[in-house]
Amino acid sequence: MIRPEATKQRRLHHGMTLVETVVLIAVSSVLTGIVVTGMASLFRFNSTTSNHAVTQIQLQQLSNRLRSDIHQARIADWDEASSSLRLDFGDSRVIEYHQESSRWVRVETISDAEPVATPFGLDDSFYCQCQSSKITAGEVLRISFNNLPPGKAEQQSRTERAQRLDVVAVIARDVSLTQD
Amino acid sequence: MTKIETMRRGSMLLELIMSTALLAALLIIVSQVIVRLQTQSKLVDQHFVAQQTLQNLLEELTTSDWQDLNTASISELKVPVWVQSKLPEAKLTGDVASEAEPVVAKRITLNIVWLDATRTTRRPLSLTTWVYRQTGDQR
Repeated sequence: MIRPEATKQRRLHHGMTLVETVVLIAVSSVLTGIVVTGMASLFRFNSTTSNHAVTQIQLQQLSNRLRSDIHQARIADWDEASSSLRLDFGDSRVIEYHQESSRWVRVETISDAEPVATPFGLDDSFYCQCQSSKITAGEVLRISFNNLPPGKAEQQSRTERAQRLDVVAVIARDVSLTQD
Repeated sequence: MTKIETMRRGSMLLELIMSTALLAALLIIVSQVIVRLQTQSKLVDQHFVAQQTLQNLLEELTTSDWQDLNTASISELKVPVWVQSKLPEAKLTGDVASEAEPVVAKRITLNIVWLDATRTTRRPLSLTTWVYRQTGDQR
């Protein structure tokens, strides 16, 4: 025979009921889902933002360097097929901007010396376009770097993360100033 | 003993509610920080585009003839279409001032204003350059 006191004690000592367990599992899985989704979007945001910021710095460096080189060069040659810009300084010094191993580089050659390559960090997702193929002293060179393919450049407004750099610079501007 | 057992079982739900509330509060704070970061990131992006645009426009202006370089030539300048998509309602203003000392020159100032992510107009971004009179230029 079971005593009533013992029955009560056993009931008090039991663990969680099935309903409690199910509710607990449901609530914790919802919470885990929210936290995991939140963390994933946080990591994604961090990665996108830092990539964007790094590319912006690289574009700024490219802009400064390119402007300075164009201002000192006497002739600029743009080759559409290889997407390369060749700046001739008229004193056996030549600087070329082109893609090398999926990166944009600036290669400086002085006379017969070994060429010096400076990588810009911009990858081959950036397309380059130039309005003219040959630009001489006093003329304006317009060159554009865009991470959208040429045909899709108009979609710039709809793509939040699209990045573009337009450089407009006068060939031999600093040379003519020095001469005057 | 019975009282202790009852209390322990009851605190289960309370703990759950409290942790949910804490988590919700944290998520709200984090999401607000993310929104602010996105706004700042967009602002930096816009600033870069505005600066490059001003540099390009000034470069084009400096190629104009000495006598054509005046305030009217600034009003003819246009903000490129792709820049307008990055800088909503971008407006260009500027001024050309003649200077006689120490050398004869024209000081060109270009300003650009646009609406930022919060749809407010920020302080205009300005860039100034000088064009010096070359030999043969008319007064």
